[in-house]
Amino acid sequence: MWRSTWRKARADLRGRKLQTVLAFLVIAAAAATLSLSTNLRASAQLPYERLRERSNGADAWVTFTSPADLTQLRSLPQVQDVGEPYPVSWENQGIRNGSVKRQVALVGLGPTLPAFDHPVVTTGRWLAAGGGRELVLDAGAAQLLDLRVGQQVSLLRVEGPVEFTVVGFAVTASRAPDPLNDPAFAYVLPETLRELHPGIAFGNDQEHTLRVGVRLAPGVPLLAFFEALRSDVHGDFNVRGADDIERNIEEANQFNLIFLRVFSVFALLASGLIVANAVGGQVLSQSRDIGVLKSIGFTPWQVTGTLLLQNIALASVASVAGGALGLALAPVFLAQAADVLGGPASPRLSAPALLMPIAAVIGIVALFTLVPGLRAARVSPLAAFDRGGVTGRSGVSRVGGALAGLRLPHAVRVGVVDLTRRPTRTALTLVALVLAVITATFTLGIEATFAKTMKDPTVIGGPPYDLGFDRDTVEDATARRILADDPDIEAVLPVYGTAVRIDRFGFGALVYEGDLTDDGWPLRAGRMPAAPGEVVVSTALASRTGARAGQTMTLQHGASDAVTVTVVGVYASTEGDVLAALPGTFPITDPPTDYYARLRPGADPHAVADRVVAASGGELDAEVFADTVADLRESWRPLLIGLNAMLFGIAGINLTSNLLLAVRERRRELAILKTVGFTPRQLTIATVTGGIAVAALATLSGIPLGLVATRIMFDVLSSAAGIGTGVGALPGIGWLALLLPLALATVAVASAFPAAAAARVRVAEALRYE
Amino acid sequence: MKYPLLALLATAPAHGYELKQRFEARFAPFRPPVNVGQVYSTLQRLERDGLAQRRGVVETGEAPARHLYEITAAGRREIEQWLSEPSTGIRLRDDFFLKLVLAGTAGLVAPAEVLDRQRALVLQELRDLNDLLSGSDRPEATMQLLIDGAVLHLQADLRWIDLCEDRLRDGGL
Amino acid sequence: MTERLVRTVALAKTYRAFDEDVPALRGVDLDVRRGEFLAIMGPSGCGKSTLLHLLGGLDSPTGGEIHFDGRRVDGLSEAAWAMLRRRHIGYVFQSFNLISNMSVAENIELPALLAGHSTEEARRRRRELSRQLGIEAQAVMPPGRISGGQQQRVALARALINEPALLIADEPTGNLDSQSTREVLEMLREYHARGQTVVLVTHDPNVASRADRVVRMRDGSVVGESHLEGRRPSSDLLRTLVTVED
Repeated sequence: MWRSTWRKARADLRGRKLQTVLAFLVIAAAAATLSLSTNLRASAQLPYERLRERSNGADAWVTFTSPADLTQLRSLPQVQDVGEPYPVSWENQGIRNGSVKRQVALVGLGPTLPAFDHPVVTTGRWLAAGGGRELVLDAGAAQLLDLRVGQQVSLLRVEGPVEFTVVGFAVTASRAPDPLNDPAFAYVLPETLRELHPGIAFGNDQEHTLRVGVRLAPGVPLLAFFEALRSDVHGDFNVRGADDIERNIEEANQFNLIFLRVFSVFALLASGLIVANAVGGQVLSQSRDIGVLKSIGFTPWQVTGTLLLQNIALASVASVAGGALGLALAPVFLAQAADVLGGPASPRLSAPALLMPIAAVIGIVALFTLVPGLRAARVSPLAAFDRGGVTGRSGVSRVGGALAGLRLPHAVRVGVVDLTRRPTRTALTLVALVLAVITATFTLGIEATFAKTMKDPTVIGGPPYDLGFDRDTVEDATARRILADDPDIEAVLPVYGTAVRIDRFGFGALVYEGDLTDDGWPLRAGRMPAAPGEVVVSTALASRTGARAGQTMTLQHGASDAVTVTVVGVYASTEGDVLAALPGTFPITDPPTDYYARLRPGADPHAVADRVVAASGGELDAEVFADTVADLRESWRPLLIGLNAMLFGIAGINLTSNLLLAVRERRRELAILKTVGFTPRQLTIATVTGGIAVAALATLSGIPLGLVATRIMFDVLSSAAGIGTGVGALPGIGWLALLLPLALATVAVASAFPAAAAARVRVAEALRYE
Repeated sequence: MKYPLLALLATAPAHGYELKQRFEARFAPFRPPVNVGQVYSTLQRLERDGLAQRRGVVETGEAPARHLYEITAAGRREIEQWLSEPSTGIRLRDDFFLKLVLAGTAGLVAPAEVLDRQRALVLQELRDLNDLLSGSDRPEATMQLLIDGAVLHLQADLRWIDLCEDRLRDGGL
Repeated sequence: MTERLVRTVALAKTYRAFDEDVPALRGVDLDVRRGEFLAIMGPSGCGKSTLLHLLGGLDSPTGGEIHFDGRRVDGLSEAAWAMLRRRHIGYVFQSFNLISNMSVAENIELPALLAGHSTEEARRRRRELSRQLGIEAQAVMPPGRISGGQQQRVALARALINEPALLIADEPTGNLDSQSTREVLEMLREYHARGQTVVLVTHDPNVASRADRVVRMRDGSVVGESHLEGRRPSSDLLRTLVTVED
């Protein structure tokens, strides 16, 4: 009995080659898109965790700024393992490539990487023994600087530039990549570091530290370790925990992850609907055969079984092929995002990520074969024979009558009336087109949203300013005058950097000289300081100290007395453990280190940067925040465009398949129209008119649906991520207006082939075999 | 018998018995054997009307002597005239028509019954004719033609019967 | 085994169209004897096709009873009807209704496989039928590539492959020329002669006259029937065809 079912299924797959190929393409492309987005999500969501696995990374990193006894650290009960300490120089030094300059911290590591807690080279190679002028740079900084492996760079130091060859890029679990955490790590051999810092012992002061990775004993929370460190280990220190770094990366990528999530959800829905649409159409086109099968004794379940068998056979092959394709494409897409995510480019292979898309696609195919298949199997064989013929609906005559009143050409009227005669097929085609339009609208919406957030520095926790200037050796007064003189600069915010401690736990404090209460700071809770003595803490510091808005904190600043401050808010920052306050909170004698500048609307930040740098005689360094952020996010764009293009492609194939099936089913009727005197040209017109009517309807309903879908998805997913609603931007009217002619043209072209086929229908054949 | 004999005579002169044989060879399956007396009386009528004439006597040594007949010029004109005229007259089952009309009038038999029986008969005739055509011993071409003609006539009869029934139902009879 | 293969009692079917009940069948009582060749005749719209569809379970009645082989079947589920059809009822349509993407051979074998016969048995039966019906040469062709007469023979083979108790033919010659019509009818008669029960619907008296019994329908009811007899001696019949005036 299964043999007969199988025979029919096989005959269908072989006999309707074009149909099978189109269905295969739709299903495979859907599976590929799903597999790709699932893989990307899996990879993007846990890049840091994988990095820690790859680098055998520590749980916490302790940086000593005063002589310490490491044996005390090793003997803490909370500590399981301690790595080799390595020297880090935090002196004012940077690497410039063209107009872009990034601050770096020099890390001294030997040519043989330790097994525990080592950097991971993403491009190029690690330092060679004796490579005194070799340098391995943080992958994020390398991307921002647009460096190539093998390139010569100047390490800009106060003492003068030193030439290095960049031999590789690396990521480390111990620090988020630039610009999420700056300065960026630049690795050189320990002897090189000593050569650059003659007579300096590392681990003695704030600028020359010793850093060590610590693996905590199982189940020990970071805070417990932190407390033990404070009480039982001598020396000043600061601490980074893996959790903080992970949060840092996640926060920065939150928007990108939202894009991926929005896309994944949309891809699942859209490709599900498209596959459902395609499969439903297949089943519908077989209703006549269903009648025949029933008349020779197929039970309804066997009919459904036949349809299921053939569609699942097709779906299995197609979804495995598509899944493999998605998997093959994933690294290509991921390579773009890996540097930013601070993770390796290889996709995270996991059984659920591999099987989910395949299972989902097969499931959808089965479901949407089962539903119309069961319905088709339930109708009497007679109805199945008739289906596809003219149905006796009263609505038909009404529409026909209404159209007859209009003075339309016969061909046009036939084309439109024909749609109402085959409500199911028309509905399927309409759905196919609406899905295509929704996909297009969604793509435009995602692009608009992306463009909106792309240049906003606050997205990664930066200040709401356009430019940053590094004072370097310029006099404070001179710098202020140059900035004040520039006509395009609206506001300047001088920034002072200093170090504070809670006991011996040290971290950064930023003092902003200006009004912080205006909008735009990436606040996560509370508000910005409005008076001296008020501070906002970074999310990292908040988690470390448990500080919350409304609490007070007692800090040591330098050698002076304790300062008590009130926490008024928590904000996102790229600077790690840091708090920000207004002048007067701490006694500071040094001039500002940086100036942030906000430009008048419409001003070109690059022109301003160039002017200011020129006016300072090249002494001030400028950073265009938008560039840094754009650079960071640019890598996401091809990914999103690629994913959307795939989705749009699926919708297109499905549409073509639907139009083709619609014409095929009408063969007999077209032949009859020919016998009553329709010319081939009129038949073409009738076919294309029908398509265009559907296209117009689909565009008009698809655009609002697409807008709503975009909006809802961004709102739901971004508020789930704690960012709040209103993230999604709507595409411009101009783009949307383009969709209508685009849809009409697509349908005209897509139905041209079936229309030509319709015009060529040989009457005798069509009537004879039906 | 006048025209068939005249037409057969036109092909070649013949005596009476010969004509009877020729006629039977041509129409045997669907005509009963012809009475030779009927042939002679027809020939005599033809001779009387000047359409055929005696050419001599064929002596067979047995009595009676046989006369050889041939067609005259007038006879040839006559047969040509007959062949070139289309056959007139609409043939119906006049007997059935009379029964149908009279059954109603006389009130002895229901007209519907007349129709039913007639239809059954016609169907049976159709079946019989089709049996002849589909049997293993297929009739020769002339015969098939005749049967096809008869089948078409029977189909027309059936349609006529249906029409009569419709009229009867509508009270038109 | 009962003498009557099919029996209907007051069989009725009413369609609903445009909010109006349209009776297609108004209480039909019909018996089909085993081995009988029954023709149902009538003008189009008289309900003859509806009756046929009900007999084969392609449609369900709105009233009355259907008995098949002594068993009441009018209330059967779709699946049960399918089982019945697959083993006991063969169907031949006016428009052939072959599956266009399967070869002639596959079309014919399909019901045999469906009924649980082995591939070999299905092939054996198909070959036998193909030989009888003269379509051996077309086995590997798609149905669309052979003539209408041949398609109908394929349909006939498909209908007969499970040796059904009842063969239902719905205007089987409606799409055929006179030569093919004659051939198909002859084949029907041959299978009938071997004991096949046939119920055939036609509006063509010429086709109906091949049956043993002709039932006439009109407006959804049976209005009469005629029993036809076997062949008569040919000479008697032919002699009545041509009258020659004396």
